[in-house]
Amino acid sequence: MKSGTGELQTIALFGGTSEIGLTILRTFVGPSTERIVLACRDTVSGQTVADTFAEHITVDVIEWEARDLAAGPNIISMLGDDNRDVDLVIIAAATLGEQSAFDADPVLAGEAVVINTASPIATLSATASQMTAQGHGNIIVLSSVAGVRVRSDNRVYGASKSGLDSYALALANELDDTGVEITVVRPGFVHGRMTDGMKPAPFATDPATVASATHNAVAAGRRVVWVPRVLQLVFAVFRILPNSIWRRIRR
Amino acid sequence: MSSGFTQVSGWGQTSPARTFLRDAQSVKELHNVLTSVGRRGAIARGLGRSYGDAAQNSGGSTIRFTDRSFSFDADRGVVTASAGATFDDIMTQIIPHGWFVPVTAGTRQITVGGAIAADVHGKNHHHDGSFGNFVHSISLLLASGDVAELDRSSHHDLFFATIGGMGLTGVILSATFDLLQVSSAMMSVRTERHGDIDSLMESMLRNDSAFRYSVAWVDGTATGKHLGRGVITHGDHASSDEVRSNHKRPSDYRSPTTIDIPPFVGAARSVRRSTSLLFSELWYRKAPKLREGQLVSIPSFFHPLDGVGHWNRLYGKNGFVQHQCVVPLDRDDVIRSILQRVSSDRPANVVNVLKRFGEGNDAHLSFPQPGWTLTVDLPVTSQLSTTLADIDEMVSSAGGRHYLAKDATTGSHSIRGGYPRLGEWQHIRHRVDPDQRWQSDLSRRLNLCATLKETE
Repeated sequence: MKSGTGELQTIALFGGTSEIGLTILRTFVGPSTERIVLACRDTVSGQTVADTFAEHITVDVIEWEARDLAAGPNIISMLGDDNRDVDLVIIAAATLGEQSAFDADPVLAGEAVVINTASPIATLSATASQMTAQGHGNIIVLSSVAGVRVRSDNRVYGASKSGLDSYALALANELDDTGVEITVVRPGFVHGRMTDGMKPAPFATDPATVASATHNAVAAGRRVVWVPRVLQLVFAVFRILPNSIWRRIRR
Repeated sequence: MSSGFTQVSGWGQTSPARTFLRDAQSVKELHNVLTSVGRRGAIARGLGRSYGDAAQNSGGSTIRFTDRSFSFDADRGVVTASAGATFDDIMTQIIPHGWFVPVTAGTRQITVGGAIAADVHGKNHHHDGSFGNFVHSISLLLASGDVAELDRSSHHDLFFATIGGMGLTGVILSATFDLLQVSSAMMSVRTERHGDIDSLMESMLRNDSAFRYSVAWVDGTATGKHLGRGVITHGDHASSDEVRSNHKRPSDYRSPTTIDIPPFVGAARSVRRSTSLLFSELWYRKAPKLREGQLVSIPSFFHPLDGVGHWNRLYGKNGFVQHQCVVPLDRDDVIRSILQRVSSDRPANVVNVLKRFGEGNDAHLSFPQPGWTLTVDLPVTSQLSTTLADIDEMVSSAGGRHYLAKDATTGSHSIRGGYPRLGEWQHIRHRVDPDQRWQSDLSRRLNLCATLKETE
């Protein structure tokens, strides 16, 4: 349950070792937080992360394989078993990949879409049902500006985020008046582990900035958050560019 | 029977719940409601005066039992009331006959069911104890659909689990309780002003036993050597001799009309730092150093805030937390530390009440226990959760506890520490509600109805 000061008791993070996901999660942890669930593939790293939280918080590290589409919904249903509510679910697991590698291995491309789109949609769907039943809850979905208009040199990642982003927004409409709120986060290039060694795109940002913008958006009840905010303007232009120009844009 | 999904909150207006709000006028209608309660269960709600999330049930049912009837034996001074009967209605009828409710909270706008479920206390706790002490019997609708008649000899464990049980043992249908005989509708009041917390507490300890009612308002904005300055009011029901001069007989009692704060006021917070400083200064200055024998009406002595309808809206749309704790008598240092912690935040804080509790009772989750009880109103701000966490730590480590009817923020570990009989209560509860039919946001937040394997 949320406390009277709006603090969250139970938070679950899918992509339990995700740098951006964890940075967002930490902005919601307060004195009333009692339980954190980290769903991740690498439970050893997950345990290392778990040890960084304050002693009064119970942190469950649960092994989770994103390619197993039933795994996310199973964790959500397990969370509801003990009659206590889940206040916030953060869906942050994703794979960026190299377009050249996807071109060389079509199965890898398909798998990326499973990890970035199918798996989050399965988890989102389960979360939405559970939170609707409990009458309240917040969901944060890590999308990307890459999905707003998909570039050809980043087409697998971009298309997968585009699918997730569209689904999440449509689901948010469906959840109107249920007490459940979805916030879709669209960061640009984020410096960090996932982008290590890559050349930063213009308007690059960092996990802390993404996290604080997300926290504020959730508090204000905003459905979409662009980080940095200027990208909303940039992509408003990109979206209406004629394809003859857009097709030539490379990062 | 009316029903529909709607948003409700406690009096503090924090954490509103989306719930299936259902009104039932009779036991038969209650039975109908019960048959369709789902996994999220149901909780009874009276007039919504609990401050936090005790009388709401997100995603589940919240039931209002709207039968407000009661009967009154004017010779014996006994009332048998439906759970939905209000203290306001009861007082209006009994006072003209020379009777008074044995315990009244700070508002008349509470129901008999709520008063039992929260085991409410008043300014006479040091003298008379809490409301549950005066209850003879309770009629309780169980999860099974049966109605149990509870009293001190039959089902006595369920009787005491229901008093202070926050509605989690069943729906209280009706109760019978004793009244207090009075010979006027006026209060004889002694007022004392004290410049600091030490002098105030010392005087309270020395003098409160001489009066039935005793309470202190404490200035939450005062710091340094004025920390905890305040005004003590002691009172007794005035005798007929005392009131003869101004002709106030019990039959002159009227429930006063109120002015109402309209909803739009809540859009902007009216209680601000500047207004709270001004109010506190004026309230302190207007009190005499010492005044005795002042005659005051029952509403202005017991329920001054009832004069302003929806005063909770003055704190704005984020609402406020009314934090009430009790610490053992020899831990008056904790009261000082709490006041220091509160004043260091410079909050917009107006209503703070200090009182000495007398003996507790046999109810497992009844809040009052011997000691100092301090109540502070705190508007919700970004720093409030840290402040409250610090205060809760002070209370817990001193062996104190929090009042469930007001709680909105305390963690389940503090509650487990503060209520050592919680496990015993859970066993009784589990026996009558194994399928968790009775649930509230409070019970989920504090894990009150934990399955037994978790607590063992």
